[in-house]
Amino acid sequence: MIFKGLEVSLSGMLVQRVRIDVASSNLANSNSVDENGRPYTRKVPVFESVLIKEGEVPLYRVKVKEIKEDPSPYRLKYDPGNPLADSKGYVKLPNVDPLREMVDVMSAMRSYEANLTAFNTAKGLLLNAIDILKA
Amino acid sequence: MGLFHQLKPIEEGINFFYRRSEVIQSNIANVDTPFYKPKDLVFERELDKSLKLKRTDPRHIDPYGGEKVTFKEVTLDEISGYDGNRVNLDKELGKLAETAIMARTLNETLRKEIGKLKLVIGGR
Repeated sequence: MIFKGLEVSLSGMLVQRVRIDVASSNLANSNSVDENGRPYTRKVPVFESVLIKEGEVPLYRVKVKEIKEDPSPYRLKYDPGNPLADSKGYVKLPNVDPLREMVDVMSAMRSYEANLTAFNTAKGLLLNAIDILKA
Repeated sequence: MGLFHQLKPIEEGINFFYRRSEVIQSNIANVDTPFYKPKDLVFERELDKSLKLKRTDPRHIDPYGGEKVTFKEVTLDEISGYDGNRVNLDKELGKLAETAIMARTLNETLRKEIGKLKLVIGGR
């Protein structure tokens, strides 16, 4: 199929978008607790390459395998007045580092743009091939 | 040995560069996939063979090895990142640009060749 290359680049753009979404959600919830009072846990998307079996050249698209929870410890803040504080006066805060999430967003944007460039290049090649008809 | 004989090597070249651009696209798409190794295609030597070079002197080196035109997949072993991914994004983009230019050049060549044939057939 002639449009396989476009599909591959689109899958790349899609997973980078998921990565930005997850990072945004982590950022937005960097101080949240859930309905049980448990602090929000940072989420991390895990990517996986999927072989598209077609012809003699193997191509791999990419997909989001799962969205995992970051097992690193929660941040502790001394705040005895907080209703969620434990007996020693510490409050558990989400294990989200806003700086890290920002870096992740920027890295995802770079990868997204690279995939977009690849998509446009492939599109240009296909359109160029159509020009042969005008010979 | 027909009228359209000279179009064949160009066609094969275009095919190769399209395939290569797809492989590079797949490397770029997998830039954040853990343990992914970038791939590439090799063709150059076989391309030279398909050009049907003439031997006007017996001392000339035989350009054909009698082999079929094939694509060879190469797994590149780059320096691994922290997640085991070995794709170098800038390098892949560079290769993609190069591949696109080659494909376009061959496309134009094919267009010109077909134009010439049309002129001959038109008999003006």
